[in-house]
Amino acid sequence: MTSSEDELIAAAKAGSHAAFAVLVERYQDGLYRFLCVRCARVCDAEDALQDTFVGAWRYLASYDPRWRFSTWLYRIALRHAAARPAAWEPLAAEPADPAADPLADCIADDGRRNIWLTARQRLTPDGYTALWLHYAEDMAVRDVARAMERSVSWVKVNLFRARRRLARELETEDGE
Amino acid sequence: MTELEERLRRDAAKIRAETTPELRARVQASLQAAEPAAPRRRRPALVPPPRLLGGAALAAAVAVAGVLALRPEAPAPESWPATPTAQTQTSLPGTLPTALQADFVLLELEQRATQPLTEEQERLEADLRRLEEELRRAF
Repeated sequence: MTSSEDELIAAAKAGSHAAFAVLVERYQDGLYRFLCVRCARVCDAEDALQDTFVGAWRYLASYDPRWRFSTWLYRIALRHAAARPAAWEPLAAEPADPAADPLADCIADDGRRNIWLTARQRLTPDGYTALWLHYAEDMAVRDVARAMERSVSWVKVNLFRARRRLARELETEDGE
Repeated sequence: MTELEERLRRDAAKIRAETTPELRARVQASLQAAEPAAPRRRRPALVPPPRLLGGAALAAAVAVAGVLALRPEAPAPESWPATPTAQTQTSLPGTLPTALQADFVLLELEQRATQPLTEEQERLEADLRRLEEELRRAF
C-alpha cells in the first residue's frame, strides 16, 4: 500500500467523500472486471460493484490497515457477487444468451479460446475464484485466503487442484 | 513459472472490462447518498460491579468465621509422624486440617456466590457472538 493510499483512506475515514472518490476511481475497473468474470449478467456485475463501494464506504471505519486495501475491497465484492447469480449457475428466469455473458463480452478476440472460459466451465466456483485472484489479480496466496475468508492451506490446495484439472482439460482440448 | 501459469496470466490480460461513465456516475451518486455506519462499539468488560464482589467476599468471610467458631478445634499434633517418602498418605475430608477445610468452604461459597454471574456472563457472550455473526452475514 502506498503512503498516498494511506492518506486517502485516513481522509475517507474522517468523512471525506473526495478522498474515497479517488480510491473508487483507482479500483473500480479492476473490481468490475473481477465481477464480470464471476457474475452471470452485466447488470449483476454493475449492481455488485455499486454495492461493494457503498458497503466499503459505510464500513470504512472497520477496515484493518494490516490488510491491503484491495484485499478488503475484493472480500466485500466477493460477498456481494455471491448474493447474485453466478456465471456457472443456470438462470431460471431468463433464457441463456451467449451475447450477454459478461466474460465472453470482455475477451479480446484473438481467434483462440481464452483459458478462463474453460476454467469457468470446468472448475469449481471456489477454485475458479482462487485461480483468478492469484493469477489475474496478482494476489499473494495469503491475500487470496483473506479475500475468500479461507485458510492459506485451503487456497494452496484449491490452486493446486484447479491447475491440475485445467491442465487435464487443456490436454483433452488439444487432443481433439 | 509453468506454461499453464503463463497462459493464465496472458489470457487474463486479454479480458478487459471498463466501467462506463453511466456506471461511474451511478456509483458516485449512491456514495453521496450513503452515510458511514457508526463505528462498532467496543465490547464492554463483563466484570461484576465492585460492590457485588465486596458483598460476596464479605459473605464468604462471615461463613468461614461461623464454621471455624462452631467446629471444635482439633488438637494439633506435637510433631508430624515420620513417614517414608515413597509412601502415599491419603486423608479423608473429615480429617483435613481446619485451615484446609476453611479453604474448601471458602471455595464452595465463592463458587455459589459467583455462579449466577458466571451464567449471565456466558449468556451475554453467546448473545454477543450471535449478534456479531449476524452483522458479519449482513455485511
